[in-house]
Amino acid sequence: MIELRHLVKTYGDVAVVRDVSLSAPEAAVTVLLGPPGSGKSTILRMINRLIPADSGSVWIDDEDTAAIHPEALRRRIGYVIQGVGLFPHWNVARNIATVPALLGWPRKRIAARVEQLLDMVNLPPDRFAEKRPSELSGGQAQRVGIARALAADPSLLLMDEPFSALDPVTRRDLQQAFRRIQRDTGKTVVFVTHDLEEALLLGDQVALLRDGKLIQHGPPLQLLEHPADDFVADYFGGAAAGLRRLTLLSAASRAVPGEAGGARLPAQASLHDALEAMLSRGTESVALEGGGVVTLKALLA
Amino acid sequence: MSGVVASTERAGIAKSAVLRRLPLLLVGAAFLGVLLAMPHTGPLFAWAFPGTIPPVYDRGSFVALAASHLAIVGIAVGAATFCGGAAAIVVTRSWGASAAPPVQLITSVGQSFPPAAVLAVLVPMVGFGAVPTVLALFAYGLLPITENMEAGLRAVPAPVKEAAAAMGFSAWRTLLLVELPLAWPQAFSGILTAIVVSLGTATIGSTVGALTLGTPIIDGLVTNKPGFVLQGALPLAMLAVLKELAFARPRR
Amino acid sequence: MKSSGWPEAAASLAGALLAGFAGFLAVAPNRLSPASPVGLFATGTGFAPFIPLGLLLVAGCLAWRRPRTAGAVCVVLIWLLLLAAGDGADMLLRHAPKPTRVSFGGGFWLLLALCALLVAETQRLAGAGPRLRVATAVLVLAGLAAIAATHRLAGLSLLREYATHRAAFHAAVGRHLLLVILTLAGALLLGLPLGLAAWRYAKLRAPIFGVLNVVQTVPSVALFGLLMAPLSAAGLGGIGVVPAVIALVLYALLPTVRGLFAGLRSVDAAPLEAAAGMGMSASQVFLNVHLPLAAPALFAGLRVVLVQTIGLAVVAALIGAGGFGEFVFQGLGQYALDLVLLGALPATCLALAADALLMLAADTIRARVA
Ligand SMILES: Nc1ncnc2c1ncn2[C@@H]1O[C@H](COP(=O)(O)OP(=O)(O)OP(=O)(O)O)[C@@H](O)[C@H]1O
Ligand SMILES: [Mg+2]
Repeated sequence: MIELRHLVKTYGDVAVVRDVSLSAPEAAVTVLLGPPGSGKSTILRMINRLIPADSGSVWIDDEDTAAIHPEALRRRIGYVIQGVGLFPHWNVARNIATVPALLGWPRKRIAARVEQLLDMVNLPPDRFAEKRPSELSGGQAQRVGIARALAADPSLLLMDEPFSALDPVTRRDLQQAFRRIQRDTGKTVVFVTHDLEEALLLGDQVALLRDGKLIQHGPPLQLLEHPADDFVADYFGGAAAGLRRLTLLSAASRAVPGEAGGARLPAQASLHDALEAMLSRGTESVALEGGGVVTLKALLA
Repeated sequence: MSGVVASTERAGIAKSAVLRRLPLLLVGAAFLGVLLAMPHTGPLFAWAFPGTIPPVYDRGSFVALAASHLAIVGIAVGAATFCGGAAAIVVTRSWGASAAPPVQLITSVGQSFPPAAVLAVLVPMVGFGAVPTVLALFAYGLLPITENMEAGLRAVPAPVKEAAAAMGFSAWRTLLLVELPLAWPQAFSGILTAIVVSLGTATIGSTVGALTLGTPIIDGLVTNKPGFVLQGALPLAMLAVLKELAFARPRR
Repeated sequence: MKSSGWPEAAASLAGALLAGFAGFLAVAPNRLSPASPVGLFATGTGFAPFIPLGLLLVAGCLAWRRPRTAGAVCVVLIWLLLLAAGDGADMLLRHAPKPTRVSFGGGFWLLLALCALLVAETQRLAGAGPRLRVATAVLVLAGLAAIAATHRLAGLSLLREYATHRAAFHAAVGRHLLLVILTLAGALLLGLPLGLAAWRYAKLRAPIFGVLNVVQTVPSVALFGLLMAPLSAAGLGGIGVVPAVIALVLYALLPTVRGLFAGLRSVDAAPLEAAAGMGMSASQVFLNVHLPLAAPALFAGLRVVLVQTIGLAVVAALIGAGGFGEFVFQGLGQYALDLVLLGALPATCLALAADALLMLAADTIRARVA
């Protein structure tokens, strides 16, 4: 668990982070969401002490990070930055091996780990291990960046807009891959984005920031249904909030016994998917894999 | 830079432009002063280096040496501008594109030849004097001039050229009225580079008999007269500072 | 850019004409008197017809888009040119009085330069990689060495000068290399810290580059001269290796400092942040990531340093530093132009070789980094 206690950061006389307190629960994704310049990256960099905090503290598993040597701390925390930042003069394998090498792992263990990670991010090791970063597409580079951050199996992962420079299809692909890896490995993740859809899709918790202040913090549905003020309501889409809500609710939760024509939706489909299917098929009910149907009436309830 | 000057003048503080140029004017005046005064420094050098006869280089006036120095540079850079410019125009036309790599190869390989060696090897072909120096400076000036002119011409946006063609300009007219004016600032910086390099390299020409400000130095070194060396080196050092003041661009 | 090769084909045709008419060799009654040109065919060598024919063949190959064949012919032509010169000299000397000297004429140099350029150009047209380029250069040089070893060139005045000055020549090679190595060491020793300082402390930038820029524009002849008085006053002697190396290092500083500074500056912030974020110490970030990524620009700077130093070291002979310049200036003084060549030719070859090698190194590093 990561706990931020009264973090403050000021550049000159501009307060960039103002008294932010927040806890990121174990094995969950906490999204820092906010408009550009709201201080998201700054908070992230204060967690791994790339930037010193003016005041306040960061606690990891009830240990004050100020007491840990910064380099030792950073080797324990995976970090994925915007624009990936792969080392262009090293091949993919060596990039991924960076932290294990810093930690002095034996060579065999490193090689095995690199292979395992490349498999995990769906890059066949025999094709990709020897490639240079310049030979990768944006999505492939981003996968390598994630593998690199996971290399020494850190329990904490900091990710700063990792998917922002990608096309929508690759992006969706990686978001799903990331979600799968996170669930499988049970990492504690702090994830920065300014994209609401991404926050709703990936976040177990969302913290909304504006001008360095934490405005509201909680599960996404809570921010959507009970915005603390107009800014939150606005940020969460104003009139489109109803539709957004549907993306967060699973279709199975509203399913009733019965049968319906047409292809079945996957079991983990959202209500948004169900509505989409009804609209495109011109029906008022759709069937789910594993039994049950969602009706328009149940959806509106 | 000229834009900055123009705007300050518009703001009514024309004085500052003069003030900014003041170091240049002062060093320039000092340079001329040293050239004119040098023949009268006999007693000084006779005291500093007793036994040297004559105490001051006297096989030509320093003003004449400076004039010859500048003329050599001027002719060489002028010719290099003409030929390099023509080459840059040719390689940026669609029909001349395949000449671009050889032109680049020739101009850049030329840069790596040691100047003293080039000058010496030219002597059996063209004799002693200013001619080998002019030829060598011409060769060394080609790269910066061609390279910058070519870059300038390539930087002209395609839509601008298209617009000119669409308005009925002939290829010649487009080149003269649109491309060359737009490429000029970059081409000019190449010419300045060539001038700066040539002013320095010209002095080596004195080893093959060209009259430059380096002549007293070579004379002094060969005949073991340290006074001559100093008399040549002083105006040359001032010329270096002068170049730096006159041509220094604001650096990013 | 797609390139058709017509300029190269045209140049080969012009070369074929040139071979027929220009003075290929130059004959002088003795070592110190002016020479008169002798055409390729007038030398009476049996190799003569092959040269214009070879060039026509090259033009044909280029017209039919066979750059590889054209390149191979050019390599052979380079050897042929030398063989023709050596053989032609022997022919001309056969019935001539003993002091007669035969040296390379303007036509020979132009044809040699043309063939060398054509080799480079045909390789480009054929899309040759760095390995093939190096192999070709080695092949050409090995052929030249083999030709020289058979004493077929012994009649040429250049080699007769070499034979008389053998010991001095070998000393000059050593001295020239010594000047270059000492200068490179000095430039790295002083330039790297200065470059680092310029990058690290913005306030030092303007003074460092300002001073080095002015130093760079002071003509070499003047700097060598200016250093004489203070150095002899300091007891280091105004002439010899020490003042030469000091002046050469002063010139080498600007490209070294600029190369390192530009390299460090050009590195993208993202890998640096990633490195720090993964727990590298400041020095690990610098040595493992920052410096390797800055290396191409540094190497480009060192290439300038080497080429410039090899060239300026020739001038340093004026202040008694020795090296190839000694033959150049001694030859100019006596108007013994083949002695001039004995200094100028190796200096030029050294500069071109250093240039090519460092360019190759910089390209290789850049390819690994980009
Ligand atoms: N080194 C610095 N010096 C001065 N101001 C800074 C510095 N770093 C960041 N800032 C300012 O702090 C504010 C917050 O920056 P931060 O990078 O944390 O924003 P962000 O929320 O990550 O924005 P984005 O979505 O654009 O990445 C911005 O206004 C930025 O200009
Ligand atoms: Mg940010």
